Amino acid sequence: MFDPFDILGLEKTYTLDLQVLEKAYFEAQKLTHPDRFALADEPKKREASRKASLVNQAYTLLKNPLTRAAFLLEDRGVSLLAYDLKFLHKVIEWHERHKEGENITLELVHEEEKLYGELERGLEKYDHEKARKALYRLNYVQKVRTNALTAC
Amino acid sequence: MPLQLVEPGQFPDRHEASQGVVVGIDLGTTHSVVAYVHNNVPTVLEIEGGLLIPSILSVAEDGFCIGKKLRESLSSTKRLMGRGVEDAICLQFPQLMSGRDIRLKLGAHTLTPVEVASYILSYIRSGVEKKLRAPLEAAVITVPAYFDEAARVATKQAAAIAGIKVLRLINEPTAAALAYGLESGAEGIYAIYDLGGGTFDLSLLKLQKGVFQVLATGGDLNLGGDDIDHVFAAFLKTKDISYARILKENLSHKEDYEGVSRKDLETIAQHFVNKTLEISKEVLKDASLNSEDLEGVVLVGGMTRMPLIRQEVEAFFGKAPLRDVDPDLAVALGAALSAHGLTYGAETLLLDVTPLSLGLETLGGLVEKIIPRNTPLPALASQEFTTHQDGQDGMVIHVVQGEREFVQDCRSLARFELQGLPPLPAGIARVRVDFALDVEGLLTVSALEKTTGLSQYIEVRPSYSFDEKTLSTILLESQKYGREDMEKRFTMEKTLYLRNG
Repeated sequence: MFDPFDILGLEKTYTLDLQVLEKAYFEAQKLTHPDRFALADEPKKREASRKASLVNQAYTLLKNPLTRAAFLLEDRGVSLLAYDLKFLHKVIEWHERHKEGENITLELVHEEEKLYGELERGLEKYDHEKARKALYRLNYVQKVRTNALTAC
Repeated sequence: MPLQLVEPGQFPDRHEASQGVVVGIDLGTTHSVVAYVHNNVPTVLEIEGGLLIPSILSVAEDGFCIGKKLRESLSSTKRLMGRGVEDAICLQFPQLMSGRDIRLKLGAHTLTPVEVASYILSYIRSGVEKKLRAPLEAAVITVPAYFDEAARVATKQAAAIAGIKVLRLINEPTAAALAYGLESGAEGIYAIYDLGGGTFDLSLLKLQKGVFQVLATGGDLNLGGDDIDHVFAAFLKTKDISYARILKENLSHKEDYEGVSRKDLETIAQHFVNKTLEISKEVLKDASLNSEDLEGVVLVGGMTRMPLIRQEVEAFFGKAPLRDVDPDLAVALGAALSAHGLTYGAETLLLDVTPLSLGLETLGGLVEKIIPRNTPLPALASQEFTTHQDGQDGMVIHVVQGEREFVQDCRSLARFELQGLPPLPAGIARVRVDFALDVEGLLTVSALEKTTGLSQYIEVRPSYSFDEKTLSTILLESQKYGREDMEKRFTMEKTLYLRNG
C-alpha cells in the first residue's frame, strides 16, 4: 500500500510543518533520484526512477492539505463518497453571482478558512463525518475559487 | 567562482585527458556552446577560435561546413525539431521540400532537422576532442523547458547519429540556474527568463543548500528572436532575415543604425515582449507566488541583451535583472556542471517538473488529468479501467497532452488498443494502466489486466506534433476558456448525477 507518510518517514498526522516536509522530501530524493544513478545499469536506473516517482507522489500528496486529509480519511477506512445537495446549490449560486460580475473572492476565502478549521478538528477528534463533509465542500470551494481568479 | 576560458594552446593535464571528457552542450537555435568542468571550474571551450558556434550548416567546396554562413546554408533548424510539415513554423524555411516529413534542401543534399543537428554535434565533438586531446565520453544536452516529447526524442536521435552518449537532457533554464546558483551561492526563489532565438521559457526555481527545485515552468515554442527578425525584416522591406538580425543586434547598443532607430525595432518587439510577460504572469500564478516572493530574476538567451527587454522585465518583476553570468554562456556552463555531477557525483540535486498536463480521454470527450503540469519528475500515475460490454476483448486508451477540459482541444499524444482481454461480463475485467514520465520528460505507458495478468508494454511516441498555433496558445487558451470549460463540466456532472441519483 502506498503510504506517503511512511515513504518520507513522517508521523501520520494532519498538521504538518511544510519545512519539515520539504526537508524529508529533499533527503529522500538525494538517495533515490535517478540522477544519482546516471552511470548505473538499466534495471538500477528504472528502480531509481520508480522510487523517485513515489517520493515525488508522496511529497505532492502531503503538500496539499486536501489530498493529505483525503489520504488520512481513507487510511482510517472512511469512504470519501459524499453528496450534499444543499451545498451544491450554494456552489451554483456562487457561479451565477460570479458570472454576473460580483466579486465573491473574499466570501470564498472566509468559507475556506471555516472549512479548513472543521476539517482539522474533525480529523483530530476522529469525527470523520465532520471531516468528510468539510473535505467535500472544500474541494468545491477550491474549484470555484480557482475559476473566479482565472476569469478576472 | 570566476569564469575561466581555455586559452589556445592550454590543455588539461594528461591524467584527466586520458580518461575521456564529459561536456555540457547548449544546442541553440542561433548558436551552440560547449563547456566542461576543468579543475572544478565550469569552462567554455573555444572551438576554432569562438565561444559561440553559429548553428549554421553550409555547403563548402569539400563538403559541409559548420559555423559559417556561405552562399547556401541552413540555420535555426532547431525550430523544426520534432515538428511536422503541417506546422506553420515551416513557413520560415524557404528550403523546405515537399513531402510527408520535414526535409530541407542544401545544395545537392536533402537533410532532416535531426541530421542538421547531428552535423553540428559532430562538429562540436571533433572540436572538443581536438582541443582536449581526449575522446568525448558523454554529454548533457540542453533543451527548452517547453520542448515537447517529439522534440526531446529528436534531440537524442541527433546525438546518437553524432556518436555522442547522452547522459541526460536537461532544461535550459534549469541549467542556467545551476550555473548561476553555484557561482553566486544564491538562495531563495529565482525566476529564469530565457528568451533565445527560437523559444521563450520562464521557470521559477527554489535554490537552497544545493537543491535546485523547479516550482513551475511555462513557455512558448514559437516565440524567439527569430520571430522578431522576421517581422523586422518585413518592416524593413527586405527578404534578408540575417540583415534584419544584424540590425537588431546593433540597435541593442546604438540608438540609430543604418538609418533605422531603436524606437522602430522596439515598436515591433513590444508585442513579443508582452507575450513573454503574459506567460510569466501565468507561471507565477501556477506557483501561487507574487513577484515580491522572488529573490531575483536571471536573464538567459541572447535576446535579453535588448534594452527594452531588460526594462520591461525589471518593471514587471519589480527588481533589476541579474547579470552575473553571460546570458549566452550560462546554459552551457550549467550543462557542464550537470555532466560533471552525473559522472563524478555531486551534492547538487536538480528537481524538475513536466511543463504540460497529461490526461486520458473519458466518457463524453472529457479529459481526465492524470499528471497535471508542474508535477515533479519522474512521475507515475495509474488508472483502472473496466469493460462496458459482455465479452469485450479490447479497449482503446487515448493519452492527450494539454490544459483544456475537452479532448478535441488537447493534443493527442498516443492512442493504443489493449487487445486480447479475457472474455468476461461487462465491468468485471480490471485493467490497470501505468503512465511513467522519466526525468527527461519522456513517457512510457504500460497496461495490465489484473484478473489474468495480461500485460502490454508500450513506449509512447507522439503521433503528431502540435502545430504552431496550438502550441503557442495552448496555455493561454486554457486560462481563457477555463471558466467556460468548468461550467460545461459542471453541467455535465450535474446531469449525470440527476440521472443516476
